Amino acid sequence: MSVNYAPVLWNRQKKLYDRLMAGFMALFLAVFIGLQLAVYPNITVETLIIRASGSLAFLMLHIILCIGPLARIDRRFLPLLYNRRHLGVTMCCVALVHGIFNLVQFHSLGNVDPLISMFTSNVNYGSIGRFPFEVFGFFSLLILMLMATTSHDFWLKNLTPRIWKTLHMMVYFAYAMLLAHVLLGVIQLEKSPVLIGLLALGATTVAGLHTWAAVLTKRQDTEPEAGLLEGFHRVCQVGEIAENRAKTVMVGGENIAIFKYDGKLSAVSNLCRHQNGPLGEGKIVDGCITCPWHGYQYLPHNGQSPPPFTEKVETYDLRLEGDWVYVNPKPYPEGTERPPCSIHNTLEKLSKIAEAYENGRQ
Amino acid sequence: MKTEGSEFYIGWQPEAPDGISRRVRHFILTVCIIVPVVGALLVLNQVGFADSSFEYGQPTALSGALVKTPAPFLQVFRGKDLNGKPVYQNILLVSPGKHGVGEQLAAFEQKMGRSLEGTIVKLKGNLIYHDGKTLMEVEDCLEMLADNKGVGLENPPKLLGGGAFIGEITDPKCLFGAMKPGYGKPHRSCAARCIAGGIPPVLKTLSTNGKVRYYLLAGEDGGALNEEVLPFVGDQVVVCGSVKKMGDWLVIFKDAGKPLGLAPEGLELGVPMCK
Repeated sequence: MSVNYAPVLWNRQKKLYDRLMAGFMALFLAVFIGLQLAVYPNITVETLIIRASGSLAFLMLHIILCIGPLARIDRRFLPLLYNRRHLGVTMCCVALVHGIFNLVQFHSLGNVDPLISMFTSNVNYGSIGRFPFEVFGFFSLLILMLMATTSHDFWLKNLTPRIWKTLHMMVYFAYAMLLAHVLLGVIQLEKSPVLIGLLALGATTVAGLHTWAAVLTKRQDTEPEAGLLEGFHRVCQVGEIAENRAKTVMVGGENIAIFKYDGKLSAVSNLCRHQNGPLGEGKIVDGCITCPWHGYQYLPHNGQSPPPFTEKVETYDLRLEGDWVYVNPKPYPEGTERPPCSIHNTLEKLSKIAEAYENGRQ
Repeated sequence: MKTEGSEFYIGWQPEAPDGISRRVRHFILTVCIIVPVVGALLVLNQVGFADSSFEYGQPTALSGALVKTPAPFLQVFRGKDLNGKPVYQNILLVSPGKHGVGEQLAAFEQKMGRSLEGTIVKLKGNLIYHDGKTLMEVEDCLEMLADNKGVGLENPPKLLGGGAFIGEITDPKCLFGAMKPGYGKPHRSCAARCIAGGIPPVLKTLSTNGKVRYYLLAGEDGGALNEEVLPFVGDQVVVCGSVKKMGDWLVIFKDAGKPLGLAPEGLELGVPMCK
């Protein structure tokens, strides 16, 4: 969280993350280039750069795409998500090296402009096997560049989280195009079953993890119980919510997180104002709802970030009837204070009713 | 969703909780294994690269007779064989970048004020060689040495036969050393640019016994075939024509009445009948 924009707000975790990333990149390049020169000393420098950068960027993209679902399947992977944007921007730079070297190597110094050459040297757009695979690479690189250049919080704030998130979901489209780029390109030359197997393994891992995470998320998304009270939907029992944690519910199209803390309940939007992170998977820390993705914080009773921060989320009204929690899905404007529901009052009321009932019987 | 007790990770805090750190360490160890293994598998499962050479930045000056058709050659005298017959090496001429040598030779001829076909000239350029074939990327047309018309006739094209040939069309400059690999789908667009730029096309064929042969492609009358082959660059095609030997090069003079066509799927070897 920050009040002003800065290129990078460095902290220990981010530095550690980036050092590990640089180490892995160096390890891959050392193995790839070292082995390439040892086994195939005839390779040209240009081909070495093209293949090393392309392979590294594609491997990094696989890791990037696996981090999201891994963090949803097991929260202990959340540190991998924390600085994923550095991984993404670095991957884009590596992919850019691949793209530029390809453009220079295969399309420059000819009788037409290199970019025109990319689209016109092979015009078999109607054939799958003969399709100009470079076009897939070009457009996926454009998407990755768009994502990298808008990755900063400045763009997140100005584009709004919803548009920003939609834009960044295009990474899946880019990934699909990159699979086609590799399949219709280098795999047409390098037909080794091992390479085809690696490609299939990568795609299956990405698709499998996303499916697994989607199934888990669907299970957790609580549909409202059959019960409606003056616009309030019955959603769960108080005991279902752990202390300082939340229950997330989808009611009337609203994604709501109901937090339990200090004998009270408060409901806010489940979408963090930063990157639409799942606030309901967060925790109350120092009296603030803390987003599990990047640690953005909000006060539970009004959805406002503690001063001097300015982020705000929508709030909702809650009601307790017996042990049942009811929520009104009509959102209040971001940062609107709503009095928390006191669990103690209800429990006391329940105890009194039970006591009266017992006394009546006697 | 699994969590380690009540542990909660906050990125801006200096330390991550123990259980979370442990899980991340496991992930890092896994990536430590995956990264080098993937790198090694990618390298070890490539088809490899030709031992061709491109003496880029190391120009050589050579003298010989200029032959312009069916492709631009410098016919260099290499001494005599055991029978005392002169031996010539035909060096295919190309220009820097993805261009044929036509414009450079035309400018040279204009400077000399005459046609240089069959004339002894001195050229300087970077040599490209592989598999018994040599090309020169001409940097400079240095001088006209002698009006020695007829030298080329010492080594006239010799008809070897005719038929149909299946192979991949690519450009000889990249194929013989300027790029590795200089063939196949990834190189297709580059080959198209080179051929569109005037470099004569070459057909790379594979015989049933695994031997690779290279044929320069020319029209029936010896004219350039570049425009006609462009839609088929990088594909397995069938070319019908007669083959002539020109020194160390084989040239297919394509039959004018038999258009190029894609080879039937799976038919990369053998010689189909030309219809």
